[in-house]
Amino acid sequence: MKQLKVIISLFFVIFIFGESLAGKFPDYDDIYDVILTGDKDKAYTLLLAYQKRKPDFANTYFQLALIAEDWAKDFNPFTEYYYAKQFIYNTKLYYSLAKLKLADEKKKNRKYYINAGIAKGERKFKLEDILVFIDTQTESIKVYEKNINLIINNYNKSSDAYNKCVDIFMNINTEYSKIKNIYLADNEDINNKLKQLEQSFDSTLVYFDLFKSALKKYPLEGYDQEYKLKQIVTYRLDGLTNTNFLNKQIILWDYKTWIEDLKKTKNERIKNNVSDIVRIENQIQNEIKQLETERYFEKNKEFKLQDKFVYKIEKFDNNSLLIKLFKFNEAKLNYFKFFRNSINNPITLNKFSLEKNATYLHNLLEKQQKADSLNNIFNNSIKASEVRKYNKFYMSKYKGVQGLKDYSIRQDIFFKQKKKDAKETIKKRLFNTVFQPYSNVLTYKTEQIIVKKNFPDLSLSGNDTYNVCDFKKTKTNKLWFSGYYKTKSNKIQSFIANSDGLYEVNILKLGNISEKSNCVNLLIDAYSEGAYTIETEISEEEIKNVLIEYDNKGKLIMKKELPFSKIPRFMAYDDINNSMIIIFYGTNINALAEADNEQLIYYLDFENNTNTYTISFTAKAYVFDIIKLNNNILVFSNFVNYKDTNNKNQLSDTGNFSNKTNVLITLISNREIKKQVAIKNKKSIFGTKAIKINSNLINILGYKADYINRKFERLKKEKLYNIYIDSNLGQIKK
Amino acid sequence: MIRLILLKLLLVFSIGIIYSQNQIKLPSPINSTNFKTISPYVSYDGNKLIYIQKTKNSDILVESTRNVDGTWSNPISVDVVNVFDSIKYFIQSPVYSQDGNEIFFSLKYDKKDANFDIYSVKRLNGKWADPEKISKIINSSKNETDPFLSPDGKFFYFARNYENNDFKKFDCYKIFVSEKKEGEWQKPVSLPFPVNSGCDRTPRIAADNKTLFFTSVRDDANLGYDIYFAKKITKNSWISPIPIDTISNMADESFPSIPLSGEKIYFQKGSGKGKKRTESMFEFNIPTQYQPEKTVHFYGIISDLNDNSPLSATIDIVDPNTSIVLFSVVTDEISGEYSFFLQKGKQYRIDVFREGFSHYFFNYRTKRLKKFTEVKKDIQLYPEVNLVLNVYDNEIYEPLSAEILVFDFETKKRKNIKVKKTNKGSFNIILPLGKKYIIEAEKSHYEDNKFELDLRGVVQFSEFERDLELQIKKIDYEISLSDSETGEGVEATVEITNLSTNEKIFKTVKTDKNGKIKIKLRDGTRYEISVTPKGYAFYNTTVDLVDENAEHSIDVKLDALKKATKIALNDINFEFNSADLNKSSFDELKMLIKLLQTNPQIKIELSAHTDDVGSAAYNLKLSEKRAMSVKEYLFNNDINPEQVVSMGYGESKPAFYPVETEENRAKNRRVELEIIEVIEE
Repeated sequence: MKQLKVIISLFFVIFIFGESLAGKFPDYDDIYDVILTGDKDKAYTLLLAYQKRKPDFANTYFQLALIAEDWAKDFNPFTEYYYAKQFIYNTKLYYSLAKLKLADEKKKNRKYYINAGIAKGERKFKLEDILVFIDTQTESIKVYEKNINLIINNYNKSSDAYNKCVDIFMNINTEYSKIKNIYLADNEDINNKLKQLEQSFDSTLVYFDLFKSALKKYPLEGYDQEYKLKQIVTYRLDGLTNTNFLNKQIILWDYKTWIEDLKKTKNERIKNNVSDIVRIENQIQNEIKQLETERYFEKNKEFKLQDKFVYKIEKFDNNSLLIKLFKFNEAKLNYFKFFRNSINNPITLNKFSLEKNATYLHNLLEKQQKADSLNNIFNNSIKASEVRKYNKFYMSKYKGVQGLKDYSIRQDIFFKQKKKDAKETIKKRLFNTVFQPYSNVLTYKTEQIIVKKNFPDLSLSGNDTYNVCDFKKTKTNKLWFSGYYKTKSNKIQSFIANSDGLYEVNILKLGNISEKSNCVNLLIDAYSEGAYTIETEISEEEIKNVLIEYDNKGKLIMKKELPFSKIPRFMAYDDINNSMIIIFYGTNINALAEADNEQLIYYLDFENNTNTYTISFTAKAYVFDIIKLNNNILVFSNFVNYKDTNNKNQLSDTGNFSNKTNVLITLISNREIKKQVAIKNKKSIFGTKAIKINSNLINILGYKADYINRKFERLKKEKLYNIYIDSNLGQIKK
Repeated sequence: MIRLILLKLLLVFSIGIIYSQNQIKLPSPINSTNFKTISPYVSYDGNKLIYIQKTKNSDILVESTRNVDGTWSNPISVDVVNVFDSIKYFIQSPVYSQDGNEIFFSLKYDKKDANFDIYSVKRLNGKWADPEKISKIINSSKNETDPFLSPDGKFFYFARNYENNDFKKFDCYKIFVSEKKEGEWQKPVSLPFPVNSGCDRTPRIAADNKTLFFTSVRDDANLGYDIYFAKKITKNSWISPIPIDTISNMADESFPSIPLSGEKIYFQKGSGKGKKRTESMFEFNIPTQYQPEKTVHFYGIISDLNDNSPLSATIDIVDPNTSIVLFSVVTDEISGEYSFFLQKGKQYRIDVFREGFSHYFFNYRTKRLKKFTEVKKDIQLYPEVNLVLNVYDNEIYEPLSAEILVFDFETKKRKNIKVKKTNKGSFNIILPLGKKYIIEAEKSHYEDNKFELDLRGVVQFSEFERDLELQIKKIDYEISLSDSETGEGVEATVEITNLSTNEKIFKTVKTDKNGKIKIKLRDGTRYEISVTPKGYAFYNTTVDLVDENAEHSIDVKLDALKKATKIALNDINFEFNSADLNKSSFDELKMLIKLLQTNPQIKIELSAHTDDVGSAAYNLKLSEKRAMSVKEYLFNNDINPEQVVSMGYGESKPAFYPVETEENRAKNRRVELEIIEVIEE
């Protein structure tokens, strides 16, 4: 502390008594000599130093002002504006200070004013002359300042505005990687940016014009710029560079035209596209809504999303979510239209054949698969960035991103329900076709006959009753049926009959009757001109089978004994090739109770006996259908077990129960069993019908139920079994 | 005078007592009792130190770097300077350039009449090259020493000796400066009085390019060397220098170095005389009034985006209002490192580029800079861009698979540039920068289209997109309809369907009275033309304009629907051995339905025929079923049953002989219609 006091005291001493620490310093004459050499840098430095030493010496300021004035005009106002401004200020300052100090100026110092050229040619001049000179120069520098400021301010404003344009445009290019995204963007942020860009560009040109006007009034040598506009052609390449406003010809990116073109595209092409989008969306949704009124149509023209529309949208929106949505909606609408085909109407059960229904269901499932697939693609593409592209549309029609997702999820429910309905319809048709064509009763004389499939239980049947075992409907809707008549005296007599309408039997032919045996027509198959049946005579000792043919009028055409003493289980007549396939199995009329496991397949060629053959395979199986496919024969059975082509025992997945079965398909080609395929399932499957959809696709219909011989009505409550196989017996998932 | 000196001594001494407590002597290994630390210089980034270790027998130039913990590493000899010549020499005053990749120093050979000249040694590819004398315009016959390059590389300061009688006991120097114009150093000028006013040397211009620190002996030689501070007004005019009195004391302070932040000063301090003379290095926090103006230090690495390898690139620092390049910096080729300073109070645009690579721009304002700021910015440039080219049909906007050709604009020669198709109509083209290209799209049946793409200028994005629309060529197609018997023109409505888009483009185009019509069709497209005039059999055909040799006209002879007119329905066919219609039949069946609907006055017999293979009975049955199958289809499509009779003729009515050939068998398997009745209206 004591130390500090000493030091402070010393400070005062030095500053009171001490000379300038600068030491040896040139006198003013020396400085003036330097001024006269024209070395302004040196002179200015010396004058500043002198001014500190002698702050009241007027000429210091005067000379500083002269140099500052020179420099103020020397510095390029465009490139060295800071210095120009600084020295303009210094000029005014130093002249004013000079003026202030001149009052005390001594005469002898007049010599220091000669270099200013105040009084030309005269050595002597008055103080007033100096003052006038100062005023004149001050005024001159003010004029210079005013004009320079005007020029430079407008120049800077123009270049600043243009630099801002470049910045905004760069910002847009960075945020929107493609110009198409801007076309589709409709949000406040982009609109503001475009507006700012437009305004900045307008400012650029306005201030440039003001700059030019100012230059015209106060020309600066070497500066007479003009601008030229350059088109922005490639987005993200053009429009991103600043320009040199000092060049004689300034190239400016034409942001205004770019914005105009952008707006034009948005207001014309995009707007048109949006109109089309809304129109098509409304059309699709209205049609879907109409279809929900549960009407069925014979024909329904498919809706087709025009390729041109798709291309127009995808031109601006590659891999568009919108198109994915529309393609799905298109598939959904067409699916729905197809669903509303009258064939699917549950009340038209008799109008369309089961085969037609099966083909229809297959096509419906294919359409559903297609729609599901499109729905998945659509769902996976839902993103906020995609939704923003047509934000208004998505918000108004679907409530945005979440709404779209919900919509996609709901489609599952839609399709599941429709699939369920379609399956119900075919299930009803299946039952109609295979088990009971009518629910009403036919009358024969005074007898009433219910036509439905039924394996006979001879003991249970009432006396004087006609019991139907099998029936077939032709394409002309003629119904043939066969079975047995239990007489009043308990005898079992075979019969065959037909009917055209819904109520009366036209023809009924009674067959054989025997004291010691029961005669039943277990099977029937009809064609356009008549029908075939097999009369099976069952006694304790033997089983005889006779193939009988009738024409439509009931006339007997043919009778042929068959060399098999087993129960016939299935028959199919080929009216084009005039051939017959019959399958025999066991001796117990109740197949379920049958112990035997040899299946006999009898091919009978009516035209050429040499083509007739018999083959067999080992299986506990119940044949339900036969199909001819590309010269091969496919036999469809419900099996419990079988021996495969390698002689190995195969069991169904339901175990070894006689009433729990899976489906077995046996392929016969060139009179031999070529292949056997079991479609296994843990649930018991009751295969009922096989339908050829096309030469490479077969539909197997049935029930997810145990195998039954009687009381088929139970099947109405069971779930439909519906699978598809190809010509190689491979299963196709639908 | 004596009083003045005494007073000054007292003042300086007092201040020195107070402030010298804040001067920190750098520890070992920088300072040591084994040597004197001479001419120290700390680099701008404060992480490198260069100085001379002076011993009795030698002067060695050494370099030390700052460790992570702030201490200095053991100094390493800068051999490239120490041992580059076999003749003995002395070195002085080493300094770094702003980026640390060049060392300037002065050197004098131990020869008679030799003098100090200024040399530099550059670090190239990570290695020091051989020292070289700098420009002749700087080195004269006198001693030049204390070199210093301004951070913008535009001014070279140094000291040149001269005789000063007022300071006889000192080896006196004056500070000079040379300006670089158009790549050449200009004649040096001395800094004016009072900057040069005594013995002045070791000029150091701070990062702000305005503040000068230097060593001087002035006023009284007995006070020794002190460090002074001066500020440039403009050009070569300066505000009077002020001693940094917080440093100055009785010792000799010299060789100041002021790193980036401007808050610290390093200097050499010598005290004592003769054998007791010590020279050490000190550091000190500069009081605010002596600090240079705040700057922003930018640094980082420039590299290639493709492989991250360092790039040699140029960085232009530009005044955005005037586009004048204020100064340029080049990155190190090996490391890609760069470093530069921006002064306070301005705005700048920084442009990073390299020929054949993209540009990188960014703006920076320093108007409100309050403290020294460091900005690390690593930048990646790329030598090529991806052009996404989308090619469309300009009528229907269908994306087109076109052939894309790339040509050099200058030579007009085709470039072997890979064009990758990403989707239909969309292509990725990788184009090297630095050239102008012509991109052309070609597709058959379309007019070629092309555009120019100039990549010689500034490129700032690595990918952009262009759409190119191709104009389909149109063909004038003439359709003539005439009666097959009379040859007279038939007026009818023609339906033309574009099979590519499945679009009916002409639904109700009518021929003139002569049965002619001319329409423009798109080249390279397949069309279906169908006519269903009243009173005539329908006609449809496919026009394939894909084939360049395709005819551009069609002369259709229409068969009047009269009794006994026969029409072959060639596209109606069935599954083998079956009456099931094949899918391919339905188009023809639609035509048949339309014919019957348009001509309700006619009654037809639909007949099915087979070949001679198989039995006659079988063939008959099969043909009957087939005819029935067609009839059923028509009825299911609302055709009046009265209009159609179906017949199966089996093999009994072959149309082509001999019947045994496979060709004729195929032809004989047919479905026909014959008009069996025409009801007059």
